[in-house]
Amino acid sequence: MLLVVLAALLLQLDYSREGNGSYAYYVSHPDEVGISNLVASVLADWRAYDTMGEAIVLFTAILGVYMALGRRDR
Amino acid sequence: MKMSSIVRNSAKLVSPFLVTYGAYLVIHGHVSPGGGFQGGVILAVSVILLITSHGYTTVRTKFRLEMVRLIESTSIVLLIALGCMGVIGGSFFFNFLKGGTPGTLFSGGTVVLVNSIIGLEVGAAFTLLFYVLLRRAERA
Repeated sequence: MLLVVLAALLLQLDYSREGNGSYAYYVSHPDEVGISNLVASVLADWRAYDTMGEAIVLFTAILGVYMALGRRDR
Repeated sequence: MKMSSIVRNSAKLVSPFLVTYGAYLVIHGHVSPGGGFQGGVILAVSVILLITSHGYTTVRTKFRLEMVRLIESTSIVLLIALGCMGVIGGSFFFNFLKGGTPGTLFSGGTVVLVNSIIGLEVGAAFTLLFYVLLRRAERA
């Protein structure tokens, strides 16, 4: 029941996209983007959630290395 | 383990410029090629260059392992806190500081903050990886 309501809500959202991809959107809406480096704009503004995930992956990897090898006494 | 004095002096000479270049790549990441990951790796390389030339036991007295660990853990918390601060603008990681003319340094909004935190995180992570591996290698 809850799943049906959630699906109905999610299907109501606007999934329309620019025809030619993100570069066409960047060219046609320069004021809305406002950042001259497109890669930085995508990585740190539009998809900052993804970047946070990458940082957490790196943090977890280093944490695992530290837990496996970083013991002081042996 | 020490290398010859030519290697040590040139590494000491190059390393501050690497820090400057890494900071430039991080801070100007939204107007020119660069960004958090690339600048952070260069920040880590400036320490790793000192480790390879001077040895781990010498570098350890200046760049403490506890400090590197603290920077790495703090930056990931700061990144999540920055994402939560975007909630006041409407959504997670909303760019609530946006403004300024495009192409200048202050046009990025939170992109500068995200890049700086990612740079600190990546630099501290790679430095900590080398510290942990070298501490094990020198003990054995």
